Amino acid sequence: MDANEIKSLILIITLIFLIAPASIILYVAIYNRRKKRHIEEKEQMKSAFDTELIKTQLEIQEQTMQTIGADLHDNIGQLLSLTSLTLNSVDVDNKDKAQQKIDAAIDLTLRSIKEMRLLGKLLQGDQLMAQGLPEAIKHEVNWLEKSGQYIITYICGTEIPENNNPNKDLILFRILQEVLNNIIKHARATKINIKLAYPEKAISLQIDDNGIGFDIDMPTGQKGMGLQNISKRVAIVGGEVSITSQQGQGTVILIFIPYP
Amino acid sequence: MQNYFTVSITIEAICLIFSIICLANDKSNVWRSLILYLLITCIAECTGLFVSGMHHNNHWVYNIFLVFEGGFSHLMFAYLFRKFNSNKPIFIGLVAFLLTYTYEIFNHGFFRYNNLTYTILSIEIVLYSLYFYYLLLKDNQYIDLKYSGEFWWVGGALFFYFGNTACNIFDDKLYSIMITDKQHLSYLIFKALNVILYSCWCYSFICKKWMRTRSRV
Repeated sequence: MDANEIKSLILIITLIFLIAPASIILYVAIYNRRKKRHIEEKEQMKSAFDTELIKTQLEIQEQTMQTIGADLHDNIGQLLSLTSLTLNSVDVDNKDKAQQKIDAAIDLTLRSIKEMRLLGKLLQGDQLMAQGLPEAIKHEVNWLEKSGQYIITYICGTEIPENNNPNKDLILFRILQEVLNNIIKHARATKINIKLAYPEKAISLQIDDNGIGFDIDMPTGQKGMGLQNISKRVAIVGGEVSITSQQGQGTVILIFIPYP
Repeated sequence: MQNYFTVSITIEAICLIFSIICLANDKSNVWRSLILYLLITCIAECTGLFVSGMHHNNHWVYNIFLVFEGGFSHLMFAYLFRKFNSNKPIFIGLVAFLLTYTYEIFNHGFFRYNNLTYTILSIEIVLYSLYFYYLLLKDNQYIDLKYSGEFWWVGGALFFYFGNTACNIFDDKLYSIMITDKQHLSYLIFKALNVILYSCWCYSFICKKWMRTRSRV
């Protein structure tokens, strides 16, 4: 290697040494910009999650109010009207019959009180969630069973983890309400099975019925908003949902969410 | 008469003026101490030039300045790393710097420049700068680099000491490359590195002032 070649080599190495810091600084700047984008995306996701959470809370409240309204009109209202009619028809001169009617009125009043108590519990929706998801589901099941139209089996499998996630609980509870609404409105089912389990670092909820089922391949628009909402909400909490159904053979919905 | 308006001294003086304007009211003592450091730099450069103009050996001037250079650089990086709770490398580097400096002084006396110490300091500063960028990228918090005084200060130091390390290693060979009849390539590189260093620092001081006034608003 002659002197000129050595000089050129040294010149190139020196140039590399001078260019290297510029490249490093450029890399830091590019990486930093990416970091900014990532932080913005995270904030957007958090904001979407918060909005969805508020929407879910409002929907649960709305559902509760609808149930209360319907119950007051169809159940307690009827009981009290019947009580009033019975008491109006009491003939004080006919003691035996009067006693029978008074007893019937007392019975009707007691049933009204019982119904009112159940409604009172439903009104405390937030407190219900505070007791944990398994309890909230149990309460929902009790309420639905009261109608006498369904045979419901509810199994809460493995042990409940010590650390819960109230936000995920709330979303899952709302999904359950939506699935049950769909069953009541469209499925014409007589049996409903609900299974809640806590596999490792996850929560799973399975709801199946023996209703008329539906064609899973039908266009999204025809499936209704309920199923779309379920998929959207499960995706927001990073979970997966699988829906299996065939016409005339019921529906199975399995939700799997990382937990807590 | 000796010409004191060399490229290096001029850019150092400009940087000193910028530091006085932008950092005099800074709330951080470390950033404010840079005014003193730049003043010492200007004095050392002028003294070095004056002594060499008298045809005396001026290495002792730069040996004294080397203490300040090492001290202030470590102080600044210690301040920057404190934000990330990562001060250990500074202590190790400072000990290495002091030990080499003492060794060289005992070895060849005060009137020969401590080249090894300067090379070690340059390498340390390059490593600190890279480590600072690593911590910056690892940190979850986003910083707008355009207005980050810390980023530009480190950027200037990285440019200068990275280039300087190469020039120091190949000093003998580079010195022999002439651009014009009187101009050595190594001098041109040193001048360019000085301009880059102090330009970055001037901008970092301006950023500090911007951030201060912006946060006050």
